[in-house]
Amino acid sequence: MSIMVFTKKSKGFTLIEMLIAISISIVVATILLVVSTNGLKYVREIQQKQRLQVEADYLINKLAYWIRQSKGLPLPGGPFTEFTITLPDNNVKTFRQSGDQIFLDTEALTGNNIQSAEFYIKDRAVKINIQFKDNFSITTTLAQRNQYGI
Amino acid sequence: MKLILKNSAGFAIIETMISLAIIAVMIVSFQTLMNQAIKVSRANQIKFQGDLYLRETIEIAKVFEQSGKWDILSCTSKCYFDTNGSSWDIKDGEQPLDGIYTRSFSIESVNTYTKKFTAVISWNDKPEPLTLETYVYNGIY
Repeated sequence: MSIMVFTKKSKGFTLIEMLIAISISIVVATILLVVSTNGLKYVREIQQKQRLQVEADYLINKLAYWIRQSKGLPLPGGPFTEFTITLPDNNVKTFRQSGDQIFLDTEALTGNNIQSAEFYIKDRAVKINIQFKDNFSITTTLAQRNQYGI
Repeated sequence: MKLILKNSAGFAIIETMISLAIIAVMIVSFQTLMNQAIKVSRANQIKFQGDLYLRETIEIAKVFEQSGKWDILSCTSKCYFDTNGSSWDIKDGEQPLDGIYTRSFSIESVNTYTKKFTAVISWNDKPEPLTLETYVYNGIY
């Protein structure tokens, strides 16, 4: 069954109703804008932190891979922004911070996300302090596994 | 055909309130979701660094093994590694880190050539500490 609706009094909105409606709409739109802008900012921050964590993980794995099989580290000291390790066949690998990246020889291990990198040689280990951009930092130490240095 | 006569003079207050309530629920839900996401992200970051600190302790234990300092790698209850510039020392107690973490290790003898090394880290909002174990060998034999 179809229904038809007829209005008895159809005078439209009064001025005061319009003003109230516009005021409410403005308040609601402002709240929505603030909430969604903040939300977007948080989402970007979270994404960036995830990206940096993946990058830091990759960097630590690369450093660990080479440091563990090295036969020689530089003399104790630091902080250095670069250091070179010697491998059993006397080949060398150099890790260095250049600009806002960290390189292994010529290969970039990170994106343009590094604020500062400090390497300390302590006994048979390398202590690493890396400050990424966006308030994210990592600190750890990686030791050799080549006991006899051969 | 059914005919209905209706008074239609704009929105009633109840309709306005319902729509505002729906919008308010949406805003609160979105905000709660965001707060939760930030909390999870921060917890992840703390766990990531906590794991690195834990593995660092194992690495330093390996330094003692690799440098022929196996004999001085000993601890009666809880200890931590301290650095004096170019090498590492063993101190009694627990080590606070970054105002968030508490780290320590313990050592037990397995046999004449082997020690079991257990590293522990905990932080404020983590009731169960994270632990890692490794075995350290006396390379002289």
